Parts: sequence; structure tokens; C-alpha cells
Amino acid sequence: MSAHDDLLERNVARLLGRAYRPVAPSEEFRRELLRRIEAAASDRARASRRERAALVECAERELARGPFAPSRFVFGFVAVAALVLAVLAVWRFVAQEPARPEREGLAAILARGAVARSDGDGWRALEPRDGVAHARLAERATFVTPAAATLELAIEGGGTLTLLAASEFDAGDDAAVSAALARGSLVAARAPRAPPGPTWRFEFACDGTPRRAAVEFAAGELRLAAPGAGTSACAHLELSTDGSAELVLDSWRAPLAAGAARELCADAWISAPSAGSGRTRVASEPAEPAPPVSVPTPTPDVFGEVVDAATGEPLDAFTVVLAPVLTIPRPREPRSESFTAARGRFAIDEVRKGDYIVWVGARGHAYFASSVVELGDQPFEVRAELGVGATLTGRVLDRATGLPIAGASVISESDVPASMIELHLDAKYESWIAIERTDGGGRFVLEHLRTAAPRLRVTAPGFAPAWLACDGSTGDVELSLTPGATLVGRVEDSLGTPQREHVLVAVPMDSSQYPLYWSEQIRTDDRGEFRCVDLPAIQCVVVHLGSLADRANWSPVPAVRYVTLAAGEERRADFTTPLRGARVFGRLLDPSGAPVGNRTLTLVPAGETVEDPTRWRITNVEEDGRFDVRGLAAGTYELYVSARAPMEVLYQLSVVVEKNHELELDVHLGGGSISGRAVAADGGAPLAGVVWILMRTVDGREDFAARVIGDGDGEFEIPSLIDGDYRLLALPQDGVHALASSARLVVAGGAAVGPVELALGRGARASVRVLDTAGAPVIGARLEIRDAHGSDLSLTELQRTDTQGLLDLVGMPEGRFTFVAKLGDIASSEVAHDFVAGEAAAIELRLSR
Amino acid sequence: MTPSPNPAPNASSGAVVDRELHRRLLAGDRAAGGELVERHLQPLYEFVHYRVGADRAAVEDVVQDTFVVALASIETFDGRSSLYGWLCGIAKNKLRTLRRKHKPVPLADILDESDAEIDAILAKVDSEDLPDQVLEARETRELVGAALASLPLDYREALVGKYVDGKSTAELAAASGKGLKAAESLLFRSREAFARVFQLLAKKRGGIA
Repeated sequence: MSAHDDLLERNVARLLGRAYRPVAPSEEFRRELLRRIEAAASDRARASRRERAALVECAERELARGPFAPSRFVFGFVAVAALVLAVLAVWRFVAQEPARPEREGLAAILARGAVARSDGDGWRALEPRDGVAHARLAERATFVTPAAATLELAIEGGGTLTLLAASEFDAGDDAAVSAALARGSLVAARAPRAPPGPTWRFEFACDGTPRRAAVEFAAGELRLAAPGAGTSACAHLELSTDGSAELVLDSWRAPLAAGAARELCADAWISAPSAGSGRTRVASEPAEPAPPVSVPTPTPDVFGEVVDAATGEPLDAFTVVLAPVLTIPRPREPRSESFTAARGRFAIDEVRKGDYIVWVGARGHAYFASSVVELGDQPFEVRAELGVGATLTGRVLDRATGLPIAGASVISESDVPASMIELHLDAKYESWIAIERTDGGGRFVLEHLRTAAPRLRVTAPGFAPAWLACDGSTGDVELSLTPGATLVGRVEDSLGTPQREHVLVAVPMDSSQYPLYWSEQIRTDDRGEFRCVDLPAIQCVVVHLGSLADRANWSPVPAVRYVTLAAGEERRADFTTPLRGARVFGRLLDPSGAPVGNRTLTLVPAGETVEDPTRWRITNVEEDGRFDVRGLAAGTYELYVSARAPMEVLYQLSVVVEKNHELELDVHLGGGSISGRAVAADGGAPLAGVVWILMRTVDGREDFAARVIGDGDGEFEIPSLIDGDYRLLALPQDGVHALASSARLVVAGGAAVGPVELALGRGARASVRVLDTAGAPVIGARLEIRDAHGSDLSLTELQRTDTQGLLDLVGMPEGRFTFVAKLGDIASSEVAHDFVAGEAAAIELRLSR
Repeated sequence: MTPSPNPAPNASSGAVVDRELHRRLLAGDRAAGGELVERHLQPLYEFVHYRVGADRAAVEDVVQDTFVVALASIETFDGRSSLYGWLCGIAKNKLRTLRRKHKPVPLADILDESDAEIDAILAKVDSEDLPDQVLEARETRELVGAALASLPLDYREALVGKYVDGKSTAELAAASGKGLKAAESLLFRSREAFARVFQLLAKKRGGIA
């Protein structure tokens, strides 16, 4: 390094090492700043949700207007990214964390920033969400908040909230906390806005004697916060040793009388919505009653004065419009109030909280418009000075022909809440200043404009809308219109079924080109189609929101199509929606992969194989093996494919279907088979018509797998079996022979198993009667019959006791069997019986209740 | 040496960090707002302090408003400056509004007049060994803080890291993800910039020869 550099480094090192004193923000300020940042982020997330809801609300309102014809409406701008982000923000919203039920130390709760609550049985933590802890108060409870926390209480059923004497304490010192609580907890009120708005505090002089002030209101909400640093303009209660009290807000003071109600000014955020906003009654409990005093009249939400700008004289007749600020399709209509004989004064109350632009207009004057202001929270005063305004004349022409266009609508967007006005003007706007239609010569005159250089918007049927930023020069302005673009499309489901009453929005991609934010709102007709005309030739994105009747299930990430509109041309945007309900479809294939047709496929809700056949879903398998089952409820289903004859079903696999999901699958029939025949044990004659039940063991549990009926030779074959462990049951239908069960049969590698021959001996009969506890017959009960090995015979899936409570069984084999009767979830006790061939047994079962 | 209250973040290039933070803020990442504050609060606070004076409440108001406005209008950040530079720009607007209401203090005047020149100062700096008593003067402390607060964030971080926190150049290089040469070069430029600003302020104040 050079000598110069050495010197420089030496000096810098000494300056920074010895003379530098960092000026750092306080930790308190840092925490408060972070809290505000988080609150602002939370507000933006809520705003996104409001935007989403506003979009829905706007769609509802606009499309509810009589017979719908595709027409254009003007809304606030929805950038695609903003829309997607907005709806995503909705779904990313963090759910409120419930209050922890477990008890823990007060200091520990406060140390981590939670609010502590006690109902007299220890402390519980209320975890803040977005910086606010929520609680409901029905009777008595004690809340302790850490610094800079906010507690929002919903008081149920009215009553009195008592604020007890307060003290500061160190959250880390349990002894100090306990001592402080002996004197009560501090609950203070704070205005919803961060400083420099007024901050309310209810403090009490701690002279060792608890003082009380009661806040009384009807059921509603009281928002409270712990005292934070940097508060100013506090309101507080001053309690004197003689028991009197005063409520103080800056220079405004109000003595409080014992048992009397006082109303505070609307600046007090403490609100009881059901009792009227902005008002809270405060009463104290001093020893001696004090004389009543007057209280200030609540200030309206919006009030002010309207005067002529030239003379300063108040105007008698004028209109005040509160136009909600738009960020997306308008959330609600503007509020308009007209005043006559007002002598320049007006007041508007009960304004819904939000951001607005306040417009004031009077005949013969240009409009006054405020900047964006938040109304409904704090009173807002307006002084509107209305001038005569400027005049603008011009012509509207067809660019292609040069001919004038009559009946075109011309709006000065600088003079009206233009983003709320439709492109094709409704008659209700005819009386508005700064909106005119061209005459036969295409001419128009706009008077009383706020500026001589407004932005004009011109629309006419058959033409695309056009905008012109006037430069304030004298002389006529001229606007030329070009042919409008057309957007068409169709919404259908996966099967091609047209979707009527679906809502879509067409949004311009480039908002900078269109200072008037708008989006085209669309609803499909009975053919699932839509058509929008007279659009500008721009790039736009078409967003498919969903069915008007199913708003709750609109996708958080809607389908979009990017379309470049062209003048005089038509462009398409088509959408496909999933089917309602789940769908299972696909192909039925043999082991080689070849399609298997002309079968029946059945989906049975798992666990309900035979209980309720009405819930089975049966469909035909087409010749090419395709099948399609629609409208399924979510759940697990057993899929069966019919064998070659009716009543022959063959289990294939379990299918899990999710809600509204489309499941495509290939069902591969197995390659294995089991064949056999039934013969009489005495003589060996084949037994015709035996019903064969195939049971499959999976994970140690036996389930129904297939059913076939033997032919005249007593033979059967069960084809298309998937690999597995099976067992056969032969159920003779002749009433003479007994059922029989095979040994374990294993199908592996698609092998053919058999022939399996079962010899059926002479059976017994059993007449089973089911009674209730009182001895009355039970109708509709079913039986579970297990053999000596505990195997379920599955004989009587579809059989129920008759009106006499009887169910006759034939073909009972020799041996010991246990019987249990069931009716819903009521079961009888087990009854065992040892059968002998040819016996006719009578068995009685009693339900347990 | 007293460790700085806001040590240099262990990150690679500041521009990369800014881009990533900006991207996350645009995407609605709620943690990104806190990170913006943590990264820039200390230098911004000093930046405002030396332009407001001893009014702590006013400093806090301006700093708070700056962050709130910045996060509300993050989409307007075009990346041509650093995030810190952009925040300083917002703060300057707030300060102009503030000065319409309050009488400015002399140092704030000086810094306000100097702002347009600071960015252009990179030329050679004429200096000499500073006497000890000068180093102890309150005016020197104010000028040091004001000069440091007027520098770009990476210059400030390099100087504080080296001469306040006592880190070696190698440690600074590792912390910033730069090579040793790049870190040395940054330090060199930071010293030059600091000296230039300091000299400018000192000449205007007339207190240090």
C-alpha cells in the first residue's frame, strides 16, 4: 500500500474504532416494528381473502340481474398473478391455534408472548394469532397480557367487565407476578390503529388500595391491549382518594358518577356493535354519587361542507358518493346520498369500514374527489369546493370509414368513479355529469369537468373501447374506434357434458395500457358456451372460476387460458371440468392384456358386501373392455366382475376413491381358476345346482371372493382368479344335503387348480327363531354361523328372519356350529348346536337388548 | 472495540440477497418482512438519526413509516438500486415531509445538502493523521456516524466489520462469500468513500482540520 493508503487506513481505523458510537433503535421499538410489519402482512392476507370474496360477491350480484345475456361490466382490475396469489393466499392462511388446555406457570406463558387466562383453576395460555389473542368471557376470568400484546375479548350475554387495579410486573419473576395479581391485572384499551392515533389506557393509581372501574356494555367485543412503550395521548381514569373518578382523554375530561352510565366520544375504539358502534358506557364505583355531566355528541363517520369554489357560498343541493376503492371486481356498490336545502353541510353515518374515495357533485359544478381515505373507523371531515369546471367537445369516428358514430358513450374517467361503470352504460348513469352520448354527427360535449385534460373512455356497439388522454389543448378532440374483438368458448366436463351457469372472468394482461381497470365477467349458457363481443384487441387471460351453484368448491388455483384478442376476429377459450362425484373408469383386460367385454362390473362399498345392495354401483363393460362408473362417493370399494353367467361375481381388487376424483385403472382378470364338482357322499351321484362360494384369505381375514352355480353335472369352474389363498364352500340347494367346505386352495402364477371334488353328506335342518328380551319375535335379523374351527359359513348373507322371527336353514352339515343373531349393532349371545345328519333342530336366539 | 449492534449478515453478494428477499416479499412470504427489518433496521435507523437529530420519536416514526411504506409498495422496487438504497430513498421523502413541519438541525441540513454528492465521491482523499483529542470530540462522533450512515450498505458493513468488530479481511471475505482479493478491494473502496464523505462533512462543519 502507498503512504497515502496507509494514512487513510490508519485514520479510518482510529475514527471508527474510537469515535464511532452506534445509534441503535431500542429493543422495544424493534419489537413493535416487527409486530406492525406482521400485522400489515396479516392485513394484506386478509385483504386478499376479501378480494377473493369480493370476486365471488361481484359475480353473484352481476349475474343475478334477470335473464343473463353476455354483456360487459367494468370492475377493478384483477391481474392474473394477483388473482392466483390472492386465492392462494386464502388457502395459505394459517388456521388459528387453539388455546393450550394444559396449565403452566404464568411467567412462562408471558415470557413467550402469550396471554394468560385463569378461571380460578390455574393459568392457561392463549396463543396470539397475528398478534392478537382471542378469548370468550362468559362470567369471571382474569387475563394477564405481556407487553405489546393484544387481547380481544368477546363478551357473551352482556354483563360487566371489571378492570382491576393494575401494576407493572416482571414476567420473569413469579413472586412479583403473584404480588401484582393480588392487586389485579391490567387490561388497557388501544385504538385499532398504531400510533399516532389516540391510545386508550385504563390505569389506576396504585396506592395500595384497589380501585375499580366497570366497563359495561351489551354482548359484543372489547379489544384490549397491554400497555406498550411510546404511547401518547392516553386516556385514563383518574381515581381520587375520595372515591370519585374522571375519564380523561387529552384535554377532555368526564367525571364519572357511581352507577351512572356515560358515553364516550366515537374516538374510543372500544365498541359494542350490538349497542351501536363507537360507544361504551363507563361507570365507576366510588363511595359517593357525583352529579351527572354532559358528554360530547358522537361525530358522524363522514361529514363536512360543500361550497362554491368561486364565491365560497355553501351549496344547498349536492350529492355525496362514497366509492369503495377497487383493487379487483367491485366488492360493493358505492353509497350515494343526496342533500337538499342542506346549506352546505352534510353528515353520513354508519359507513362500513374500508378505503374510499369521497365524491361530491352538484349540478352546474365539477365534481370534487378526495384522495383515498379510510372511513368507518375515525370520523372524516370533507371540505368540498366545487368549481364550474372545464368543457370539452369532440367527435367519435369509425377508423375504417371515417364516418361519425352516433350513440357512442363518452365518459370522462377523471370525473367519475369510472372503474365502477359498465362499458355499455346502463340507463341509471344517464344523469351523471361527465357521461354523454354522441349525436348523429358523432359529436359530444362534456361540461363541468374537473380538469381540461381528462382521460376519456369511448364505447359503441360493434367497436372496441378506446381511451384518450387529453392534453388540455383547445379545440375538438377526436377518437377513432376500431372493430371490436370477440371471445368465445365452452365449458364442459370430462365426458363432454356442457356446463351451464359457470362463471369465468377475462382479465387484461397489461394493466398499464388500461388505466381503467376492468375485467369481463362471463357466464355460460345452457350449451355451456359463452360469447363476448366488442372487446379491445389486447392480450388477456380467461379464468374459469367454477359453477355458480358450487361457489364453495371453486378451485383455489383456477384454470386459465391466455388469449390474444384481435379486432374483428373471434378467439376461443375452452375449459374442461372434472365430473361431480368421483369416477372410476378404465378397461377390463385378460391376463394377456386383451380387452374383455360384455361383462358386468360392480363396485361395492367396502364392508358392506351384502348389507345394502342398493349402494352397489353396477355398470356394463363394453365390448372393447371399457367401463365407466360416475358419481361415486369417496371411499373404498370392492370391485367385482361378473363371470359368464348371471349371479356369478368375481372379486378383483379394492379401489380407493377420493372425493370428486377421477380414477382410471386397468382391471386385469387373473389367469388362475378353480374347478370341481359336488357329489353326494352316499353313492357319489353328482349334485346339480350347488351354489359355490369362494372365500379368499387376505392378511389372515377371509372375505367373499366369488360365487358360481354348478351345472347339471354338478360341475363348476371359477375362472379369472387372481393369485391367492382360497377356500370353497358348496351350498346344496336341494334341502337334503349339507354344505361342505374344501381345504385351503392356492392359486399361484395363474395356475388352474382342480378339479376339486366335494362330497356332500346328508344335511340337517335348523329352524332358528330370534326373539328380543321380552320374548317377541325379531323381524329382519341375520345369522352368523361358525363351524367348530371358527370359520364363518357365510350362508345367510341375504337371508333375514321373517315376521315370526324365523329363519330356516337347510343343508347343515354334521358337527358343532355356533349361532349368533344380529340386528344392526345388537347381537344375541352365542348358541351352539351339534348337528347330526337328517336332524331337524330348533334353535332359539335372544337379542341382548 | 465495541461490537456493532448489527453485524454483517453472513450472506453472499448483497445483490443476490436483495433479489431473493424481494422475490419472497412479492410472493407474500410473511417471514421476509421481518428479515427485511432485521437486515436494514440498524443502518436505516442511523441514516435517519443523523438527518433528524436528537428527536428519537421522530426518528422512530420515520423509520417505521419507511418500512411500512416499503412493504406496502414492494412491487414498485425495480432492482436498479439495492433494497437499502431504495429504503433510504423512501426515508428521504419522509424526511422532507418532516422538515416542512420541524425546524431542521444543522447536521441534518448538511447531510441533506450533501446527499446528491455522496454517491459520486470515489476520487482520492487527502488526509492526515488525526489528533487524539479530535477523535474524542462529540462532533467527531457525530460526523463519523453521519458519514457511515450515508454509505451504501456493503461499504458500511465492511468498515464496521473490520474496524468496529475487529474482523480480519479473511473473515470478512468468508462472511460475504467473496474472495480475499474482492474483500480487500471492497475495504479499500469503503475507506476511500468514507474518507471522502467524512472530509466533505468536516469541511462544511469546519470543525476538523
